[in-house]
This record gives sequence, C-alpha cells and structure tokens, in this order.
Amino acid sequence: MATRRTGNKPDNTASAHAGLIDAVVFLRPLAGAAAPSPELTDATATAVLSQAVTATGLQPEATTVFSHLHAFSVRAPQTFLDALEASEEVAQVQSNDLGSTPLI
Amino acid sequence: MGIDANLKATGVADVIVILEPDAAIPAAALGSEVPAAIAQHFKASPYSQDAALLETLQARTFVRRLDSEDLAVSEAYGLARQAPVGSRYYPNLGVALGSVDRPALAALRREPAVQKVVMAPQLRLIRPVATAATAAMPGYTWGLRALGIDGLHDQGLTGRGVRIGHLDTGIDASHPALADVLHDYAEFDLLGNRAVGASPRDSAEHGTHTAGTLAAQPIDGIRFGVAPGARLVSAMVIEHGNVLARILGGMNWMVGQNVRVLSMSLGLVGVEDTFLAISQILRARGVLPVFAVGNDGPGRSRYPGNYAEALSVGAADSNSQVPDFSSSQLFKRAQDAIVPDLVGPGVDVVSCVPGGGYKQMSGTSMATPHIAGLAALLMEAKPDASIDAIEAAIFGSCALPPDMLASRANRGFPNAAKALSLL
Repeated sequence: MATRRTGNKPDNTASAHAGLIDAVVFLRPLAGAAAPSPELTDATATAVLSQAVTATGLQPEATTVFSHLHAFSVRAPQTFLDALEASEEVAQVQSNDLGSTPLI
Repeated sequence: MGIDANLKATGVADVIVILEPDAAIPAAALGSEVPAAIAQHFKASPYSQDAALLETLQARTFVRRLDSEDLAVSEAYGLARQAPVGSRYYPNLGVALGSVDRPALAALRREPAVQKVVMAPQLRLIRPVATAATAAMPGYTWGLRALGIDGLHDQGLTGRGVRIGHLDTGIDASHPALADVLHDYAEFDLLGNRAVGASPRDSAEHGTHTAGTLAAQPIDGIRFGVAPGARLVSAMVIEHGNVLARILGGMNWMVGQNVRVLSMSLGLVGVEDTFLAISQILRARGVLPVFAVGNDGPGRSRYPGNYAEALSVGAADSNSQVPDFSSSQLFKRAQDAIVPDLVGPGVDVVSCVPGGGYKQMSGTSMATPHIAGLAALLMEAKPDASIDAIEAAIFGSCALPPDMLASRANRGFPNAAKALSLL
C-alpha cells in the first residue's frame, strides 16, 4: 500500500502559491535485488503520469525522472498526486519538503 | 516519525501524555514528579541512564520542530528543550513526558486521567560540531594515522581511478588542496533538474571540509586527504529547505557518473523509509553508500544513515573515545541492529575551508569521509571487489578499544592495513 505523505504543506516556491505541490514519487521496486534499468524507469514513469492525466484531466506543471533511482519528481495539484498514489506502480509519494535541514 | 513507527523500529518511543483537564492529580504530584498513575507505565529512556551525559546534553542548545496544534504540547516542547529526560511532569500544563513500549502505550491510553498520547519532539542539536580556525601542520592528521591510511599511501594506494560521490553544501575547488580533485560538479533545482552552468562553490564550509578529508592533495607536507588520487563527483544539494528532489537529483547524476562510493554527511532524525529503496538501488548499482549517523547522542540516529543498507559512521576522538554527541541506537531488526556500523575520526578534524584556509571541525560528518575515502583506497587496490566485499573488509578490520562500548561504536574503529589484507 502506498504511503501518503504529500499533504498540503506549501513549499517555498511560487508554484506552491498557485496550488501546486512539489513531490517525489517512488516507483514500486522489482522483486529481488536487481535494480530496474533506466529504460524501465522511464517507461514506467511515463505510463504512471499518463494514467494520472487520464484520471484527473490535469497536467503536471513539471516532472523530472531519476532514471537510475526508479523515481521521479513532479509539480502538480494535490488531486493529481492522489491519482499517482493510487497507481499500482507507485510505492510512495513523498513531499519534497523534508521538514528541516539534513545537514549534520 | 510517529509513535507506531518508532515502536516498530526500536521498541520504545518518547511520548507526551496530555492529561484530562479535570484529572484529579494528588497534591503530592505538584512539582516535577510524574503522577504515579502515569509514571507506572513509563520505561527507562536512553537519556536517563547516564547522568554525566544528561548534564552535557542539557548544557547545549536544542531546536525543535512543532508539529502539533495543541498549545499545551507546544509549551511542553519548549520545556523539553531544556530537559531531555526519561520522564517529567508539568502540572501547570497538565502534561508528562516519558518513554513507553507498546504495552505501556496501550495501558496509558486506557488511563482515565489521560486525554491523549502524542509523539514527543525529536530534538535536534544545533551544529554540535565544534569549529576552530587552525594552522594545518605538516604530516598526517591524527585521524589518518589512527586509521593507518599512511601505511596504504606508502604502498602507493591513493584512490586513483576511483570516483567518489560527494553530496553536501558544495565545494570550493579553488582551494589549493582541492585544485585537482574535482571530476565534475553540479547543482540542482527544486525538482532535481541539473542547473546549467553551475561553477563549483560552497554555500557554507561543510562541503569543502568533507571534500578535503575525502581527497585533498598534500600541500607543503600537510596531509589530511584520505584518497588524494580519487576524483570527486560533487553536488550542492541542501539549500532552501526543499531538498528531497535535489538530493535524489544528485544521487541520480552521480550514478550516471560511475561513482563507486557515495559519501553523504546528511541525515534527518528518525527512521522514515524515504531513502530506503534508493539505498537498496544504490547498492544494486555497485555504489557503496557511506552515511553519517548523526550528532544527536545515544538513543537517536538519522536516516538514511540508520538503514541496514547503509554503511553508517559514528565519531571517535584521538583517545579512542566516542564523543557524547555521536549518535547510536539499537533497532529491532535481525540485520545491523546497532547503528552506527563503526566509528571513524570525528573530533578535531583538520581539513580545508573556502578561501584557502583550514579549520578543525567535529561531528559524524567529519568521520564519514574518512571511511568513504578508505573504501576508495580499497577499491583501487582491488578493483574487482564488490561493494559488499569492500564493506565486509572494513567491518572485519574494526576493533573495539578497551573503553569503547559496542552500544556506542558497534564494531569499533577500522584498520586500513587489516581491511586490505581481508580482500
């Protein structure tokens, strides 16, 4: 089950004031220890985003696919993020705001 | 992290107990003594077991993150800043602080006097690292000598041919000690896209200092770089608050740059699984993740350094002691139950800072690049060794000095020559 972490906490970006949220989407890992290929990640991200567009009628403002990490970032309305989270291919949707500086 | 997640990970959780406004509390409880009806459920906290450590921690400044709308809780957070204790009662607020296990949490919630139980603040030490300007002295630093890095240098091992990922505040590549160490540098926007045309720079001192420990060149006989033959793939990733996509952008870029070890002196208090799948993917791609465990003392640790998938690094001083700031924590898991995995030189560490100078800094951030640099030396010596083998050799080389507790240092302090011999 996906873990919902996006919330409505505004980011410190202009887009946040327009109702858009920056989030990172972690795609479901493959069975076993193998890392997904960059091509598989690109294709899965494209499919998941396309499904969310179809489901909501909305378009994300921006996306960045992390091909080596099986994840992508997205700037979109909460409704769109909810649709992403509902996808079987998505393991977790995480706010881009981790809450505090991670500097140790 | 919520109560349930904390209980699952460690078996205990620090909580705030909010009493019913009309709860009948005996007069004897007025003061700081926890009412018996509540106290009976509290368990010993890591913070309550060492009086000397408590005094040290209490003398320091903590910051907090307010997650609750409840004023009483907020005020308790403020009080907690001054006293990170196992249990305490604030009668004027009607709240108590303490540690619970799962049965105790259930029992507390059944108490008629209890309105609700919420997660206690996760205290963050503000930069516990000591910093001091210093004149770097010729010769090897204490940390490199203690690890036996000088011996591997004598064998001609410098990390040549190995790329090290360095995610931090950036790097001042114009420092004379770093003039030739940078393979590539990047910055990322809020969605993790690489910024075009970014030139190497450091938004603070942290990144230049950790980069120096990783790979600084010897200058005038001053030697504090563990792997001066290695090349850094460095990214600035942590400015402006919204960092997750930038950290992932940096990691993703580094994997594409064929780094073999990732040194990351960053982390957040708690045990969120945000970076868990990413850490597993890094390992599957042949990148050894070497992460700092945090500067929050015993009973606390930071993720992703506290994942079993990370090589987590705590700090030790030149007297083979674990400083009280170095994080450590016991987890309820079969693999790597204790974090950190080991400790490295993390007190009074001399390295370079922007502008051409040098500073001493202390923290697990400083210990981490020592171990990542050691991994790079071993990777040069045994280029076909897997990251699991490299990690196992480092672990196998560790020893616990007589006064160093396994609960604080786990395997102890590595030895470079022994690690090489185990490969």
